Amino acid sequence: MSETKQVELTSKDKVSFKVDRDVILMSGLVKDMLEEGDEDETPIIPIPNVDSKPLQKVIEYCQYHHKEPAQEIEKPLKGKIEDVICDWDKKFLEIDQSLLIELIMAANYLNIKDLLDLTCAKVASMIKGKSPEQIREMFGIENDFTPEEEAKIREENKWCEEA
Amino acid sequence: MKQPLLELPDEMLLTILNFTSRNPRDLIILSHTCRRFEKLVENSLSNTSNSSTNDDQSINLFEMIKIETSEYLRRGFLFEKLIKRPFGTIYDLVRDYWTASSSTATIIERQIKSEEEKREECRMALNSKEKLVNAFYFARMDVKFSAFDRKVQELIARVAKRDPTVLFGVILTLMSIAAQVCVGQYSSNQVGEKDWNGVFWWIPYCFAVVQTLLGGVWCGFTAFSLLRGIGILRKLNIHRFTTKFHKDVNLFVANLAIPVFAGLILLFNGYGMYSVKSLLYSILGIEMSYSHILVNTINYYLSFPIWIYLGVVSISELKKIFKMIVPPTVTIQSLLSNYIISLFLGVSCYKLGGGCLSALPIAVTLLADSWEVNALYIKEKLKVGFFGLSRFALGVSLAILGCGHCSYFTFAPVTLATVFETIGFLFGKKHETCISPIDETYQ
Repeated sequence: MSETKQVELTSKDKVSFKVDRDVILMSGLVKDMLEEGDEDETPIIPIPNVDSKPLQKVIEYCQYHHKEPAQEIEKPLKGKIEDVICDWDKKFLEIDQSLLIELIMAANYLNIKDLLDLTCAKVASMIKGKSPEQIREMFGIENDFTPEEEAKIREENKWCEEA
Repeated sequence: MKQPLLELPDEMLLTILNFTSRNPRDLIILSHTCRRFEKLVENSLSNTSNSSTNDDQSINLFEMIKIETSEYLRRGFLFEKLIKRPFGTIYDLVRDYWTASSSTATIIERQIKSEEEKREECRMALNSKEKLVNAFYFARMDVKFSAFDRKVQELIARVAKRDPTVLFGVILTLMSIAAQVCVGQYSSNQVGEKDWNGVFWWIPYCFAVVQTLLGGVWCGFTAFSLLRGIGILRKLNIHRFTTKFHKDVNLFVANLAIPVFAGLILLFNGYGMYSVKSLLYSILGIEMSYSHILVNTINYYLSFPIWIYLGVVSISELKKIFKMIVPPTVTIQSLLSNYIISLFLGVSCYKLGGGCLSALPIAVTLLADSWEVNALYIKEKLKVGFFGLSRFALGVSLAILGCGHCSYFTFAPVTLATVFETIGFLFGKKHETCISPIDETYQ
């Protein structure tokens, strides 16, 4: 029985995660680095832009979808995201908002397209059908328009809201 | 304030927006969230618009996104930087069309609304104008009617001011002379040719003249009333929603009803007056010389109004007498001076004795009445009343006639009395109204 090769990922906060090589090859970034690097037994790959918490989630995702490839999410979303993803993904996405954003950034950095799509689609699903005020409230976005600008924008784009 | 979503780079945000919707309307709504979203959406739309010229190219570019996304991701980019947003042109076209159609629809709706409002205003203005014109018209008509009313009132006042005593005295004198001539003519006829109808043929025509004058007045009143009614009828259109409506309706009905009523009275009374000859003759107990059945029958029926009038007056007189008898205030003199009673007595005398005897009760009444009037005037040191002497003279003449004396001088006392009183009135400094002591007692 041959041993599975592993890769050690070190997060921004110096937390190391040992992951099967085949699993982490889902990440384009890690794949490139492994191809360019030496054939060590357990290569250590620093992931300086990602904290341990999102990195752990990324590894968790890769571990599952390594065997169960994710279904492509159609753009734009036709309905709720829950209708197009599997139950595991649903459970996976039951995280707080800040972690979700960190996960997007991690997925982007690690170049994991399916995870990026999943997380972006999750945020899009949260935004979809909401008014600007609701979006601001949901994501804590400050309204940086002046009242005059806002009035002007609304007037110019009145046709959208009346439709 | 921590805004985790805005910590994402533009590429990530664009990916999220791309998952959200491709409908430009939704994207523009999203752009209202904050400046960054606005900028992203604007750049996305404008870049797409500039880069894409046709749908085929857009589709190809879109396909390219799918194929090469992983490569771009690997390089740390998303399609915002490299892909030209293939649907941008379509979005722009849709947006422009949407804006234009919405604006056009809005403009058309506003124009329609504006036109409808204008039309409504015009309609209201027309109604107001029509009402105003009508109001002015009827106000002018009212002024005319008011002027007409005023003239009528002035005429009535002028006529009322003008004392008709002299005219009346002249007429009485002329009638007395005529009666004198007629009675003289009657007396000069042979016994077999004595015919009251032959000498008093003119009496009905005297009443006919009066009746014609009265009819003329009524015709004028009817015309005035009808004009007034038409005016009110036109007014009803204006006042149909106001409280004046019922008042005007009542006025209209009254102005139509009065002339009709007046016309009916005129008709019956007029024909009744034509039959006055037979009435007078029957009161005086004079047999008519002709016996035309049809004329008599017509006269009989057409004289109903007068008979009704006399009947009502008789009831009134009897009521007055009864009131005087129950507390014994009635005097023989007052009984004798009652003309209604004397008329009944005259008819009774004709039935009993026939001939001129029926004139005696009226003669007695005239004498008693004139005695009372003259006594009052002398007692009160007033001028002699106009009718006091005339009534006395008429009583004397009728008494003579009742005694069977007929000559040219039978009615001479009446003629002299009326001439004397008329001349006396003309030369009198001041006319004092006659006061009938009997009427005063009744009141």
